[in-house]
Amino acid sequence: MNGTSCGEANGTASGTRRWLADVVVTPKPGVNDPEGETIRGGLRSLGFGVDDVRAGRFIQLVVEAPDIGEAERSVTSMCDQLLANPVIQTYAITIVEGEASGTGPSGGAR
Amino acid sequence: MRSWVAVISFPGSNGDQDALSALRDEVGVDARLMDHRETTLDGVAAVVLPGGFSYGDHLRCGAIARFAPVMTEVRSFAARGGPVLGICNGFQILTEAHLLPGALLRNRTLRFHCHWTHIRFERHGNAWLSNVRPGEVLRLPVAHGDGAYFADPETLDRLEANGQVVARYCEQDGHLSPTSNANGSSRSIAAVSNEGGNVVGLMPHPERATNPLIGGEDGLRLLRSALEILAVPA
Repeated sequence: MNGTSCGEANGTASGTRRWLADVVVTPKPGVNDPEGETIRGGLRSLGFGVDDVRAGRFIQLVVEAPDIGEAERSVTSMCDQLLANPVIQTYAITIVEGEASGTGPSGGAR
Repeated sequence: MRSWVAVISFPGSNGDQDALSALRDEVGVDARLMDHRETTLDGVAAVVLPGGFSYGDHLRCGAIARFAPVMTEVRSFAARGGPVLGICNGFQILTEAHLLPGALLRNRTLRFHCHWTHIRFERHGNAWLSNVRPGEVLRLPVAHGDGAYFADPETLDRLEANGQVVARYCEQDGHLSPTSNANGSSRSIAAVSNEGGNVVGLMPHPERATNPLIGGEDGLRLLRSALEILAVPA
């Protein structure tokens, strides 16, 4: 279920552009996630009706690439080689043109 | 001539001195520390990747250490059949380096486990297991936060069929129980090997159980295999 969704690339400058990539790494289905279970227990004790919680990791990167396709290939390679462990984790990538705002996942910004 | 055991020191290793003194002073073999930036294993008969928190355990335990320069050499050493033993963080590094199957997950309790445990050996006959018998139970300490062995069911079946499950957490008498499997490892697995049997990883610390003065000496049952390894001409 690894996937990439890409924002509109609207830059016109020639050469290298900067891209903001959000990487979300989560445990694969079937992999024990004691952290998620503990969070679920906490939420339930607060009265929330939560069925399942999976806890992962959010990594935000600024990469330089001539176009969004190249940026996506680069970040995918980073995930396969280092950011995620394919034995236990899956990942999702969201890329938009620009730089980190420091305000959290760009893909989920409202 | 291959005549000594290399104990690799990564930034953040803290079991390297323990492994060194266990091998050198208690077992009595020529063991030396080797820096993670080293690029040759000339003369090395066996490699030990020690416990600790290499590179702060950032990202995932062992994820960064596998890119250390020396790991390129360890990889080809292992491919040639050279004996490699990964203890605790060393085990985690070997899984991240894909030299061993599976992965080590956060303990199911979410707590750091630091206590004595028992493990039962499932097999023998490879380089590191020359002194243990199948069914033999050793008492060794563990010290880990991410020690729950995980592999998918198909991989686990394959490991069992190939005899790659080296040891499991057990009670003192050798029987398996949920209590003895404190960290929540798949099928109580505490140690595995690669297909060739020359690469072994285990979570408990044999190097911290080498003298009655420190609570036990069962670790010597494993580490004394270094004597046989060094006795074999290269």
